[in-house]
Amino acid sequence: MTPRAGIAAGAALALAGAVPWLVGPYGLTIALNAAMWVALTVSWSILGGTAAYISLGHVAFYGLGAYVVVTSWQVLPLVVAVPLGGLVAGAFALTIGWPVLRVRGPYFVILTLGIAELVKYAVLNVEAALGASSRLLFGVPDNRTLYLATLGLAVLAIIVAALVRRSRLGAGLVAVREDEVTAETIGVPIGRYKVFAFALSAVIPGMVGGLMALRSAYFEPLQVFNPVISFTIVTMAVVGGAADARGPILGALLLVVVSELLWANAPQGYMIALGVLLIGFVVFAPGGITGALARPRP
Amino acid sequence: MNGLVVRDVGKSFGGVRALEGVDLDVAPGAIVGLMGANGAGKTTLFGVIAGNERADAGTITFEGRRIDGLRPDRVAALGIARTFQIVRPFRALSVRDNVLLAARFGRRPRDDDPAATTAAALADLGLAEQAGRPAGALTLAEQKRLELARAVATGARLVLVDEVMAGLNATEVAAMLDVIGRLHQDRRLTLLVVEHVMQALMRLAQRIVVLHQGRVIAEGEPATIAGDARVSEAYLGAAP
Ligand SMILES: Nc1ncnc2c1ncn2[C@@H]1O[C@H](COP(=O)(O)OP(=O)(O)O)[C@@H](O)[C@H]1O
Ligand SMILES: [Mg+2]
Repeated sequence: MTPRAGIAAGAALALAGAVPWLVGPYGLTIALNAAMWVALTVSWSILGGTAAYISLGHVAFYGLGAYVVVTSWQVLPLVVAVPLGGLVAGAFALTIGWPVLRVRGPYFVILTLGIAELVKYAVLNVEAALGASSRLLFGVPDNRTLYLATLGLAVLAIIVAALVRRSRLGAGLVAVREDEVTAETIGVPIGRYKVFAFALSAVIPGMVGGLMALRSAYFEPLQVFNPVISFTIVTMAVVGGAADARGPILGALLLVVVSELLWANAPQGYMIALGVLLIGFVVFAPGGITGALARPRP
Repeated sequence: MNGLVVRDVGKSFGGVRALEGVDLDVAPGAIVGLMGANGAGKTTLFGVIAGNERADAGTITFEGRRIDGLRPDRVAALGIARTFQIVRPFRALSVRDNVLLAARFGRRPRDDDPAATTAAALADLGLAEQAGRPAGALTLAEQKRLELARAVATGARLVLVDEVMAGLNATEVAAMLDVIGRLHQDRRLTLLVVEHVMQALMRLAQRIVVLHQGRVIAEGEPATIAGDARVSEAYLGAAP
């Protein structure tokens, strides 16, 4: 990082940390959304932005983390429950990673989507069998606390993603994106790298899910396993341009603003706008905003 | 240290027997030529040695170690690299990054100065001037040299070279022969070279092995092979 970029990042972080004291409750909700989506999208890009394995199932990790926190509510302290949620999400990714990461391209996209749905219905069925489909949570933390914790996770995600991109792991994952056969032939242990990156990209979303489950005192499983969360992550990454480290941050912030405008003016339009943006970028600017800026067309 | 030893290797694709009972020895430091008409099984043999394909039968050892059944990255770690007949560059990456990746992975223990290895490989293959260009923008002749640069940069001791002269004009073939000769000398590489251009192979190799329909039908010094009736028959028979 150049000194100027370092100063800019420090200033942005200081400003983000001061947000709860600068804005009202509505502003804080938006800031919490922004921190959440940055954390999710940047984590997703650890595999999606390097190796271009497009997971459409990240909500499963988010939902599992949420479940860990909710089911251990008032049993485990949050500082234990939230990281535990991340670990469970990571362990789940590790388990499904070996078979799932053998398929690529559209098959991987569909498989991850299917697994997330499977997890959702498995959880719903268990809940129904136990007669506990929704829960009331007493004594959830206030939005200021949730925001600061989520901001911490967003920063952590950015640091981890940056470290991965600079490491041999990141280089190997880029080789996987370019040509998997060539990659393994020159010595990249592609299986291990992909699974490790997948697990790494699941941990923080698990923790974020744990925090987000506490945004309201009323908890419903359908919400934390909503596939729209996965779609939103992918759209944010694609719009920002996942191949660039800054792309997922940019895409997340931009779409948070867009969605706030839409919710205020045309709430039905959100999914449509998401779909239009996704298709538009895939067709006309597959590198996203950062990709288009980096390589101006002649 | 007994180089590469292939014994009784077989490989089928569905009903097609691409390799059958193949024996092959490549002594450390040697250049062995591998000849055969299209479809003889040369590329398949490379795939089986490098771990891209799994042999149905037989054993392969390299420097005394069994390598058959190992994953490609494990084979690369032991010091074997291959080029692809149908080139497979990392198209969107620069030529330098293509080679740098090979230097950062490849043979173990790992290279402690991959940047220097990359620069040397680019220089040896005459690609230094193209280093900043995307690999996808190179000409075919340049992409063939990039295949070699990448293979060399892995730090491999044995390089499997698959038709790097195919599609090149006479001047380019001569240049490529020079380059391969120098790689062999300066880097003490062991080379197994598949080539269609028979004269090229005659000049380069000390020993030649001829594959025909998945089987070894002849082997020996270039002069002997050139006069072998079975070889000319196999070649002429396969010609349209
Ligand atoms: N992946 C594959 N699937 C099916 N058949 C294959 C495959 N690879 C090679 N073959 C067949 O195996 C035989 C040997 O091919 P190959 O090794 O490419 O020959 P060569 O390199 O000597 O031209 C051919 O008949 C070819 O069609
Ligand atoms: Mg071939």
